[in-house]
Amino acid sequence: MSCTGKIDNLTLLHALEEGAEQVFVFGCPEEECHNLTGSKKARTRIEYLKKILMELGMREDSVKFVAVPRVISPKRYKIYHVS
Amino acid sequence: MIIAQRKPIKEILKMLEGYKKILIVGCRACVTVCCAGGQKEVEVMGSIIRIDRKRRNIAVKTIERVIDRQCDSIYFSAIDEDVQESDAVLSLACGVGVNMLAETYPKKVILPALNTGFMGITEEQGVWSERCIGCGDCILDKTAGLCPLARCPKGVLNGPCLGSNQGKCEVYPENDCVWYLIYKRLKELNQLDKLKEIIPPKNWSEGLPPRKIIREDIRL
Repeated sequence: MSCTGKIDNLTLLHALEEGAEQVFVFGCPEEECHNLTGSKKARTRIEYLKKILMELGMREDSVKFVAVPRVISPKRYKIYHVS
Repeated sequence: MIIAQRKPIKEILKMLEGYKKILIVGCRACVTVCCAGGQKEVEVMGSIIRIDRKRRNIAVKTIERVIDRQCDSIYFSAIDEDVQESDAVLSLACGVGVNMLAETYPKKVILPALNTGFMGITEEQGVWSERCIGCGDCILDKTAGLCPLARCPKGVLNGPCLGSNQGKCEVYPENDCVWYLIYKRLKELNQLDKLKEIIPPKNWSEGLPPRKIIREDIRL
């Protein structure tokens, strides 16, 4: 999708339902968000989903937001763990 | 509108224990607006239930439906067959919708997925607050349209109380004192003389549940 701010918890839940052990959401670092609050919204939603998953007895890191700097060659991706 | 919120997942899963065919029913009215029981929340609930059962190797079939209003049985025809097929119906409506389902389907297990909160407004996206307690004897003409019963923790009818401090509530300091707001609005409207009228204590005995309104002129 064009921005992680558009992420829907239902999409993440479906991935887990299909059998994924962990789901990573790759998005811009919050301070570099092209849409200003997209990454922040994604993180807030993921935090909300984490609470649900923990109630289900699943690991907190079943879903994780990973910030990747914008405008960078995919070969040089350096992954920053934010959550 | 009626504001509600989802019960803790554990509580919902516990009440669903033992049921294999679960109908999840949302409502397109208030609970859709307050993001507690609309289409998306129904789908999320279905997914959560299936994930839980899959993790525990327990079979489950979920059916997801959303109807226009659960407080009116006229809309139930859309789910009649699904209700008959299911072992239990999980309602994502307010308590009124749950009651309506239970009264309409006496032989079916009807379960609530939400805790119904109050009648309120949307302050901003994701924030709702109470504005009316449904007392049945509205006094908003005397209080500039702002309800002291809904917004004052003490329900002071002739306020403010002595705890009001610089326009803030003593019980919830983050809130504006509603009587301060009433004063400001009456002043703006040049109606401060309304504050001289003492509002008598309410006769709560006339509002005992279950309340009912009958309009003979529109009955069929």
